[in-house]
Amino acid sequence: MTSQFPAGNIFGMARKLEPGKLFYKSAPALGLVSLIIALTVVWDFFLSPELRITGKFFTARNLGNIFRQQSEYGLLAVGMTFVILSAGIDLSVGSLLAFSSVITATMVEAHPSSGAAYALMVIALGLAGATLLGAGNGLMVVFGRLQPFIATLAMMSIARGFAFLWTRGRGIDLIGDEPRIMEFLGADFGPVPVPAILFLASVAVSLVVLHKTRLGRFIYAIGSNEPAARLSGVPVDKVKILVYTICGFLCGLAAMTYTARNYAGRPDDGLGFELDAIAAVVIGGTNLMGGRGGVGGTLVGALIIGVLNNVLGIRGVDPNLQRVLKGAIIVAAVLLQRQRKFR
Amino acid sequence: MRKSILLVLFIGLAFIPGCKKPSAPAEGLPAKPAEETPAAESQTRKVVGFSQCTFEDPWRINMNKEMEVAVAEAPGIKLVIANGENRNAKQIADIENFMVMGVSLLVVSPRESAPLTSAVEKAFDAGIPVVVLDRKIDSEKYTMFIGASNLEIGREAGKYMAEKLKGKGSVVEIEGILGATPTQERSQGFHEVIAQYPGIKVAYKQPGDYKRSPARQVMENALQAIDKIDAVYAHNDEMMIGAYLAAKAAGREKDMVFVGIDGQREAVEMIRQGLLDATFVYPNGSKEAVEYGRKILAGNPAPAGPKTLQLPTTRITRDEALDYKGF
Repeated sequence: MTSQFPAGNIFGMARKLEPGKLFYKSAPALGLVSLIIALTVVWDFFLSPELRITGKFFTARNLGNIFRQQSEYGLLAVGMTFVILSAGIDLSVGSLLAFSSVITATMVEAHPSSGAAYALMVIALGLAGATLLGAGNGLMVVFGRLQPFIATLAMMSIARGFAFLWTRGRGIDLIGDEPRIMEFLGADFGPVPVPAILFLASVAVSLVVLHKTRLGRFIYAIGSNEPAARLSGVPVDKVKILVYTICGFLCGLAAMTYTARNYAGRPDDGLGFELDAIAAVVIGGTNLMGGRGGVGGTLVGALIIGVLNNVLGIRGVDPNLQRVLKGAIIVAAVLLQRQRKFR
Repeated sequence: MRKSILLVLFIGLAFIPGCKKPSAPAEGLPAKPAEETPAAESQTRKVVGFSQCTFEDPWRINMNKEMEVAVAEAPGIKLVIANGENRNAKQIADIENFMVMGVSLLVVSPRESAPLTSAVEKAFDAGIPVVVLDRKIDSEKYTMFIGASNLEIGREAGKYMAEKLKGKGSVVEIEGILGATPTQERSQGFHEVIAQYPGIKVAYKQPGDYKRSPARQVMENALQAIDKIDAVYAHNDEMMIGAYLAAKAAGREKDMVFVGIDGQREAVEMIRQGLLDATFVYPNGSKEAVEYGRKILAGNPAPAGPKTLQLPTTRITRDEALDYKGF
């Protein structure tokens, strides 16, 4: 965009003015609120007589559903935010989820009735697997000097292949194995789903890391202008490896709740999840070119997608129409932000 | 490297007069009196090429396994399985490779009908007998089609559901991938039967893409949308399990009848435990394909009769689940 508008600096300065900045920063959240109002209140008043199904939106169970359904995408999207802020991209997140999920599931399957110590070990190994592959992405980008798109595309295939090799193509099922030592990861804690707690916790930690630590400032610096960051002494290589490693770890965390929630590990799970994760990041206002945006926006972005899926779902809207509406709303959300930016 | 040197040496040895005769064993190797036999056997051993559309599916993996088992029992047949990787172009290339290999029989389970038709026709025109499994092609140029009818399975599921609900209730239907033929037929057959029972209505219908996690999400939304759900009809077992997990999390699974399709092992196990109600086996036809292939390879001409073998479905409820394992 800056190439189209040579006066990009002016817009940049405009963003620094307090009201403009406020608008820009809160645009995704405003979008979410208006979406909820449009899809619940307005819909019920004007449209619902035509539709037989009108599920109640504002109930604890339904809000729990939205968080539960979005938490895995959300965790992937938080990891993706780190990568995109550093001007990278990670296409391997869905494959990493599948890889971590199958290794975890096979370990649970091997000793289903073991105690907490074994459960902790299984979870640690599952997380370590995804984290290592994430680090692999970083190493390829830094030392192999591969473009992030290519490196993670390769990893997408490698991790998926590992998942299939590991299980010989078989899906691992934990449904008959009682007691399921990891069940708590997919369960509800009172009215709050555990996956949602993990998702929100990861958002909170990421907010601190990105805005209150040196690492966070380095990530923004690299994303804004890598050569300049390097010249001013930012340890670019280290930070980049770390960014992909963090993303891998969060894929592992998503895999844990995914496995626990579905009582299964399937090598073909998580296909196309990278696109949902990227969508959440972009709807949340993070610039795909890096350096601008943040994880708060990603939380809102994930929730926009979640609310949309949920409301259209509980109203039993024609699934083909759902796809059209989802695409349209993604475009609308991004356009809304751009207009804010120009003000 | 070392291997290739050895190979060159051995070939060289064959040209030295005197070493040619099998009566003179070379360099302390144990004498192989019947050197011609293995070669002769490998020539009479006929190659069957199986072009499988994808390996990324438990039902397909089981199909491969059953075919390997069936071939292992058949002497003189060697089976080669190609993975179409869920891409039409790859599967077409696989079939062309089999033609180059000179297979004696081609078994193909097409990913899609239209795109694979010409490749299968070419093989058939080249004189290779072709057994088509599971999905048809848009042509008469094949020797035999073996498959089950999704329409019939849908009807059977509908009949069972009507019986179980005693003609009254609201049903959640979890569809497979929208637009796919099995999805359409499994739905159509079911609705044909259900339409005869005015007391039964499908209150909610959304796709779960034949996968557990999306199906669970569909069911969570259905539970939110509808206060009284009497039954779930899922287009495969994986989605039935997903729906069950959602209903169980909401504490409503005991009020519902769960019906699925496929005969997947976990679902059969859950039926045995009384958690789910029924599944309808969708047979893969690999045993039948090998049986039929053996007849052709033994020199029997293809029967002039019907070129289609429709496999019946088996209903698995708690009684049948005691002896049936699933895949």
